[in-house]
Amino acid sequence: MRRIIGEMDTATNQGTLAVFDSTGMSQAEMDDLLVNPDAYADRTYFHSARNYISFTNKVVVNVTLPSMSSAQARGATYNIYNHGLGQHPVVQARLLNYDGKNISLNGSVPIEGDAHGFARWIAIGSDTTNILLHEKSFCKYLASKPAITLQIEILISDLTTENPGGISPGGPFFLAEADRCQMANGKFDSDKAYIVADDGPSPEHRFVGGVTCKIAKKPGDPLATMGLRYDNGDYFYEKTDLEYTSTNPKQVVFNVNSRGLRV
Amino acid sequence: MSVQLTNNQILITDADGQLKFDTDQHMLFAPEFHAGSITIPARGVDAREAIEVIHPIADVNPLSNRVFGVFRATVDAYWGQVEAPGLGWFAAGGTYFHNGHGNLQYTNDPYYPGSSFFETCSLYTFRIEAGKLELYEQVQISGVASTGQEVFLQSQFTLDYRIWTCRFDV
Repeated sequence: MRRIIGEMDTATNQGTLAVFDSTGMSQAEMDDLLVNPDAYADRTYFHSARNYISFTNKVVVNVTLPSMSSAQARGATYNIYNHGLGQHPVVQARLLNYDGKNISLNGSVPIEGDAHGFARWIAIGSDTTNILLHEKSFCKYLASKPAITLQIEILISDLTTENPGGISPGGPFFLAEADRCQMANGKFDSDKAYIVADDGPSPEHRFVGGVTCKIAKKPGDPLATMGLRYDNGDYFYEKTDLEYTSTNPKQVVFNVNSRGLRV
Repeated sequence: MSVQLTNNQILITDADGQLKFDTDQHMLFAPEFHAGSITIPARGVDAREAIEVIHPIADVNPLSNRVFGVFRATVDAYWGQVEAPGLGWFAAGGTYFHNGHGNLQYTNDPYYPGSSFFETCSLYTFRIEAGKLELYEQVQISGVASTGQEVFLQSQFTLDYRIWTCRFDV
């Protein structure tokens, strides 16, 4: 049986809110869960003591990466949005409508890759003033890449490198207004966005908590040419190892630790 | 804004009917925060190199299984690689591509004669393995066997990190 317990100190207007499966629990265990939710992690659906990652701003910007010519390599960082926070916010972002897909920008993501491994690798970040897009791009000999305009959705979180605890939420224990709801002293705030798992067929984001790209090579042979595979769970790019043949297939085997999300 | 507490479930929807909160959802939260720096030594200094290195960082809550955060790459010297990201802090959820190089022309290649291909790169991933946060490094620095001349170096650099180790509500 699922249970919702809210306890508020009327003197301070501060309190605890927990939603959990209370099946088989004693009162003492339920009391303990209110102060020690990790001990009951497999039955706790929400707890106000948890540090939920939240986002306060969402913007969509366009950025154009310049064209490239034969055998050119380029590293460049572009200011794509002025956040004006004076700190380095942690961001979650995705490419919109790239090759018919929305692609989350976790780590470096290859786009415009060719069969020989020449691609543009892009990464999203921030400085104290701007959201940044970093590009490392490589163009093959006797080839070219035209300029490309990317549409990027950026979610700016409460977390910054300077303030890893995030913005203290604050607010009443419970607030329900026509256009805003807060619970547990702002631990949940309808004005913010949160990361929520979406295991359906079309998640909004693909959140990756680990490896998205690996090198494939002949074990122990650093002279071998290189295979490379990027995979974030629903978007992949691969450069095969040219020294491998159909009877000696490339060795790229890994499980992407990703999960679909809505934000 | 509509708030419903029914059947031990909390549902909050906005005026447009869009779901804002549902206790049946699995929200991401971050029990722990890790900050530090890792110095990656120069690679490929004396020879071609193909390595995998695990740089341990910290034990984490055994239930944590996701990495959320940012990193910063500071290159100590510039040895001809494509520019590092500089002073920005970049999303660390996946693999960071630090360095790469493609050779211009590989005339002996049986599949793409006279063509060029990518042969050198270095990859860095913050990940959780067996209850430990670590940096997984994979580097291949290779020249062209037919000429033996093109060997590329990667200079020492520093990865600063700010990582929240995370998991979802049940």
